[in-house]
Amino acid sequence: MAELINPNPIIHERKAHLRSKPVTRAEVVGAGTDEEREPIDVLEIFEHIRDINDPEHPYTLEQLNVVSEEHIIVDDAKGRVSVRFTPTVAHCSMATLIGLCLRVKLLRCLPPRFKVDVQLTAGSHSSEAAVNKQLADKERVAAALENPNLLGMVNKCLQGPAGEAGGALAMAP
Amino acid sequence: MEFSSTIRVADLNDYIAPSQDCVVALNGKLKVSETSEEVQLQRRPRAGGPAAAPGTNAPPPPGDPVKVSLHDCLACSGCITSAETVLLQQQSGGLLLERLADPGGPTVVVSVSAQSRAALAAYYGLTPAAAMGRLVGWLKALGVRAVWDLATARDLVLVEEAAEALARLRRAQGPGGAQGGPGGAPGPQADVDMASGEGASTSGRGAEAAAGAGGGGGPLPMMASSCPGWVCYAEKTHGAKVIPHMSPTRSPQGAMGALVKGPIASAWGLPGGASSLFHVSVMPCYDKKLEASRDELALPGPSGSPVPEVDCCLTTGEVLQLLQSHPAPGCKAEAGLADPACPSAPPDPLLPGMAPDDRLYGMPYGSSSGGYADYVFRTAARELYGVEVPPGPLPWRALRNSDFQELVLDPPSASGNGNGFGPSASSPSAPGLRFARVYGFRNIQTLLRQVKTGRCGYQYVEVMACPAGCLNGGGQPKPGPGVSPAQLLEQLEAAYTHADVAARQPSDNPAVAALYASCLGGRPGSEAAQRLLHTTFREREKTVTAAVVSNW
Amino acid sequence: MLASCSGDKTVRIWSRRRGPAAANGAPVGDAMAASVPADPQQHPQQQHWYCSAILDQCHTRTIRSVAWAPSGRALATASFDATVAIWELSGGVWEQVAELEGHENEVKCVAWNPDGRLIATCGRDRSVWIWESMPGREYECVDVKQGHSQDVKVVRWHPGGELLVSAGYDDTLRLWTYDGDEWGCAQTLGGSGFGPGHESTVWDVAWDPTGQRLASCSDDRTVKVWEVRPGAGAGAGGASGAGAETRGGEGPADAGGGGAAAAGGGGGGGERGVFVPSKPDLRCGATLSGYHVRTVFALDWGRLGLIATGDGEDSIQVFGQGDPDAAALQLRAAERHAPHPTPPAAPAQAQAQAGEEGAQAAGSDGPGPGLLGEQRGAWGRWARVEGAHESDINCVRWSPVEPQLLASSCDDGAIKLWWLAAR
Repeated sequence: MAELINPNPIIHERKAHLRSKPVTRAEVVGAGTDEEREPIDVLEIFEHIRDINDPEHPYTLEQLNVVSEEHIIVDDAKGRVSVRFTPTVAHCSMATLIGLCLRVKLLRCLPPRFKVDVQLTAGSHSSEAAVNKQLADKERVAAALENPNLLGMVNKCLQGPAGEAGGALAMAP
Repeated sequence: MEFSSTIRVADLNDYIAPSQDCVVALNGKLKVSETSEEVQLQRRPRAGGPAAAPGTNAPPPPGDPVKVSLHDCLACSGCITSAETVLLQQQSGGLLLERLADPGGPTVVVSVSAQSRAALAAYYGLTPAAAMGRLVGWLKALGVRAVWDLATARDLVLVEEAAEALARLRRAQGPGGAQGGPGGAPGPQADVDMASGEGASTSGRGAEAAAGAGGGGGPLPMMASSCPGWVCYAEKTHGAKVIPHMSPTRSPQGAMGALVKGPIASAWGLPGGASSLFHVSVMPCYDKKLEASRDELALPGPSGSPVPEVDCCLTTGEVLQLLQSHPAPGCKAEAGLADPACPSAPPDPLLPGMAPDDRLYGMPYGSSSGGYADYVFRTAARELYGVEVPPGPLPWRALRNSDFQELVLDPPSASGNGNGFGPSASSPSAPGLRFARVYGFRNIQTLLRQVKTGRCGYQYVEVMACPAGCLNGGGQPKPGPGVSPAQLLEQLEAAYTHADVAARQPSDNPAVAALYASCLGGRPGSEAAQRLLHTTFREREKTVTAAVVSNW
Repeated sequence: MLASCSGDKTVRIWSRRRGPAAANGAPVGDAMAASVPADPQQHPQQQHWYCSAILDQCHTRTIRSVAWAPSGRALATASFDATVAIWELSGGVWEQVAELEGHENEVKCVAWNPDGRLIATCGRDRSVWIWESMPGREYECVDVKQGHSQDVKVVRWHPGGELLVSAGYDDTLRLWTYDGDEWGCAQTLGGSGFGPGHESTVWDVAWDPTGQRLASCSDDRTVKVWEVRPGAGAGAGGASGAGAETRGGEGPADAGGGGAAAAGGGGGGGERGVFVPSKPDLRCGATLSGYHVRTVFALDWGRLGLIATGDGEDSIQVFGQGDPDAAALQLRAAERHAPHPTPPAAPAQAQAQAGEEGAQAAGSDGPGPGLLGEQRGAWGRWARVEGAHESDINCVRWSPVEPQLLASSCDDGAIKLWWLAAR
């Protein structure tokens, strides 16, 4: 894209969270068994998505305040996650791409029993209903991910700030 | 022209619809979004801060609608449409008026298609001759220097088309082929020479996959390529599999453009040559605007930027709007051409020195989309089988629906059945003729399937994107209240085949012979004819546009 | 036979072995019985299914939909790679005999019409295509219909006549009829300006066994039953009026806690109108809401006259009209007296089910009254399996051969077979 939708985004600090207990691979892998596993909570979801790159700017979604903990709801027992995100500009044409990145990251990182809803925060976009509907349509999401161009763009966003492969916490479904 | 009585013209809306991917990326200048079947142009919104970051384009001044350039449209090639929904600011009635109002600018000349003429005649309740005369009168009153009927350009194109088809047919029949019946000597039409492929000098403008370079080299079935909707679809969706089948001959609009900016410009001797003429065409559909913007139909310009051979293509509907906004002096706007006070004048001869003729000519028994299949059929029947098909409508037979028709000529048997429609004596070297007319998207699909699976039995197909053909083009005036589309189509056909329009075969047009002699190299397929009357096609790739990113 | 298609780009054919059950009565393969048979050796509920063929090396992307030809000897598969493949069984081997191209992008559904002559397809390019099968494995494009303003998710033929339903992302259903030259949209259900309908994407549709009513399910978490207005159509007298008003025509039902009464039911007081396929005039007769908490992806209306649904909450539900106990009595009686159903000699109807992202196809044997007789009364939920699968259910299909057998498929690739038993 030769011209950016939002040439002057506001950058936020990356919060230096310290979890009480770091999430290790072993813990997450053991998600099938109920015995010692930590329930997945808001913080963990946020860890998965905070470092996703914005498609246009060299900043993460956290730094651009596109995602934040306040807009994540998790119900571990039922296996439900709801993430709301706020594009930087109300007309952002990248909104569906950002939403797609969020869905893909969570699809790859969470156990398959989780159902994930990704939507825009209320009032944050001029085509809110249309974008939400598109993101909720799993058939279209699946078809989009079979498009190599689009998948490439998504993977690029999921690469993470230090270029590490997205999905350090990914696990086999 | 008469359709067979079993043919019904039904809904007439089997158009090639706007493509999913019509978004013009345009270097970030523009965002086009689709809602339902409309393609709307939106101003790209400003992103918040008042100061644009360095390096970005300055936004268009407020109030100025952002424009899609036709050139970008074709480059994107996401859009194949018979649609009035694509706003093409570049070519409009407004542009024509600007040029007319510019005293130091180029001279305005106009070419009028037969289908637009028929539509205007039907709209105002005039005979075609009266409609044409008044149209000429009105245009000249506006300041247009010359107004031409496209019949001669169409005739030239048909002659070229027939020559190319004959070459392909002969080649397909093999060396032992050619005439299979009695009286096998070719007919007396000396001007229909077999294009022996003089040089491969096609247009030489980035030619790729040139259809039948050298004449007769292309595969069968040969498909007419005068419909830009069909051409765009073929280039974009089927590319190399279909392009070799397409006829290299230009459409009448393309041929006229070449003539206007070539021999006619020279004959007028204006300083500035081709760019001193502003050529406007009046066409029944919007896709002709796309055709007018093709790179292949532009001349290299003196300062590097190409000179289009057709500067502005207007639809019949747009001409109607102009008639209402700028009536001729003394005329009422609503009456338009029907106003008795409207000035009238005959159309101009193509070249100075040619005899003016205010009669209209055409082929009333051919299809109303140019009569390609009919003319090629008659020529092939005569040249290959010695069969002189009598004048009158040909017995086209509708297959699956009224827009898929075929016509078969069995080669006359050795016992010499005079009219050639007798018992079959076909053999590989004399397979007879099987031609088709295929209109509308669904029938194009069937045809393409046959071609791709190698099961197409036709040698020549007249392909048109619009059901019922060009009279039903998207730019024609819409039916009035109480008139159904089918009724309007009947009126248009009546106007198209009106007695005003004298039946004349293209080869009988004296202007055709004169033009071949003077500037077209003497015969079809000559080098000059190739340069002016042929064109090329190329595969268009879909670009990754913003639509893919946002509307997956 | 059952056919399933999947995101793994293959189609699997599942066949059934008849034979004694395993000694411990455990089901074999993927089949599961919804209830335990008293005598496993004799009960028809025992199902021994095995994968008898895999169709692959054809499509390059997910196969989204599969449909049996009525003969049972041919299959059509629709794929995200924008093509549709036709397969035929010859000499015991499935081979691809044709490919239908033309859609601009992903094809979402394919359906074979009851006489096997026409195939309908639909896709993300918003169009519905109708193809005709010609001699010599030729297929010709009969028509390409624009009309939907968005992605079309499903097409399904009316069991009796030349009527096609399409539905999708634009929240509408469209009914298409043939006038001898081309197909036209005879009616649109829902959408702006067309009267109340679904409020979100319509995912699946099904006709009832008599071909008189249409059911649809949607992302708006409801199921709607569409029928002719009472008193409309041939033969129904002036019975409309007050009796029909209870049906409400089109309102969404009140959602009570945990379940909801559907608005009215078929034929409250008045006669149900007769549906004429060539002139469809449907209205929303009932809306089943409050039963699903997530998108209803799949729906089928079986020969018992019951509607089965599968949803994004991993559950399967069965809905019926009137009194479930009376129906159960009928079902038990039928089970006792009917001979064990055997697979017909002619390889006939088949269901297709799908793994991830897949679909099921059921052959149909033409319209006829549902086996539980004409249904009247309020709609209610008669059966539910929560957690039927581990993930979203993409497809449910009733067996055309065994009316109590239901197949379901899931995002995780599992296919399950269910037996609806009368308690």
